[in-house]
Amino acid sequence: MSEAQLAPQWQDWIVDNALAGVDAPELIETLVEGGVPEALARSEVSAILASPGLRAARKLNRRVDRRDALLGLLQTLERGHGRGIERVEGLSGDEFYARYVRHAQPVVLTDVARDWPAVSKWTPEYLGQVLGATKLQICEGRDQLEHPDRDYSRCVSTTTMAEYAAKVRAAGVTNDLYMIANNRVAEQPEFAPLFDDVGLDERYLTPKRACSFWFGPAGTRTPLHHDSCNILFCQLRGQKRFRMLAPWSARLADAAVGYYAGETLEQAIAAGERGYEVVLEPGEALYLPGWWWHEVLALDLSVSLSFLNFREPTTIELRGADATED
Amino acid sequence: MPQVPPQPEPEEHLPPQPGPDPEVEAEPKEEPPQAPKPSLDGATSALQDATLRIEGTDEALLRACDGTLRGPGQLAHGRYDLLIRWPDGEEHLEALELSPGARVTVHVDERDRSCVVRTA
Repeated sequence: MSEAQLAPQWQDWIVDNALAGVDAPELIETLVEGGVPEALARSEVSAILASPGLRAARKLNRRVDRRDALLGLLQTLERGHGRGIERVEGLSGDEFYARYVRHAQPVVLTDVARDWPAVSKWTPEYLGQVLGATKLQICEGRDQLEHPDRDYSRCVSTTTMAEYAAKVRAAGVTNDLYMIANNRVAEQPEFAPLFDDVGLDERYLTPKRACSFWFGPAGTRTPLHHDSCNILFCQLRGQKRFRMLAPWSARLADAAVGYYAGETLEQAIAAGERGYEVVLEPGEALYLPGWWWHEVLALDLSVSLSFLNFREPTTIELRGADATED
Repeated sequence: MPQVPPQPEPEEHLPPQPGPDPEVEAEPKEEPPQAPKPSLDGATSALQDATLRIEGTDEALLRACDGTLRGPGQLAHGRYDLLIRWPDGEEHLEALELSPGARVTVHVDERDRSCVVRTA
């Protein structure tokens, strides 16, 4: 007969509670109440409390506690300033960077793309004509997946822009069909003529363009996630709704799966987070600071460009295993 | 002399959290719960605030006229949009007016896709 061993999850429980400050007698008492033989409980608690792993974890825990406190401070400050998400027009570059970028504060810029020819020209038919043969990776069957964005590779296929544009026109309201994120379509040579329809707002951006192209049916929903860099999201056709949460929640950060939140926006707000909603009209742009949580819903058939080429770029990538989970 | 603010209850005073059943070389039945962390949200209270409770779903939120999204709990009185997301992703919107000091409960039935607002 094998010797009794404590289940690994009980061992984890001892570590978690020791780190939370529970002392040895209480740990042993709870283990015994839970049915663990007293001798086994004593030896396991003693071994774990003396382990170098726990000493290292205590050090790490103190660092995490301090960072959680700082995040709590930022969260309190963010909730207290009461600015909401402003909509502004005619903002100079200096004001933009001073009031918004350097404070990681989202803002809707109502005049960035208002006069671009793309706002009137970029219909599905036009995109299908101009980019007709351009190869494109799309996801179909997203509704079959619990996490269609995280697991996009399970429903990805290659098509042409002409075929995709026809599908989008016929799709109606659905989340079943979308281009893959980071599709790099805008970097393809075939896309170059389309940039004649797009202006460069030198107040905010550098001439060396870095952008992504978004085109899909009404009903396309991107779940709550964050990016690692600042984005200027320009809405060109249809309305798009953004719901956002500030990045200062330690609870949300702890539960994240890679760049995706471990819960829905509704659940996060029910748990006490404060959110913000904006609906972008064609011609408007949302400045979205890196690490802000956001969920996006296309209220209409939607075409957008997002730009990364800021005059003062800020990118903070995830490091380690967490970055590769998705 | 540095100012010392009131300290929160230290976590050391927390009782141990209950764990799973012990097993002998077998998988436990459930993950042990985590010790709670103190909240750092310095929410203020006011007599004019209303209290809102939502039962039957955790997929609901309130949108104030400035686009701020809140959860249930203590809220400034005024008009809100109550937004409920049904399990299939479809969204339901209902206007909700919270009067000063009101205690409001929203009962949501996801199967019937219905919600009933009751004010105490």
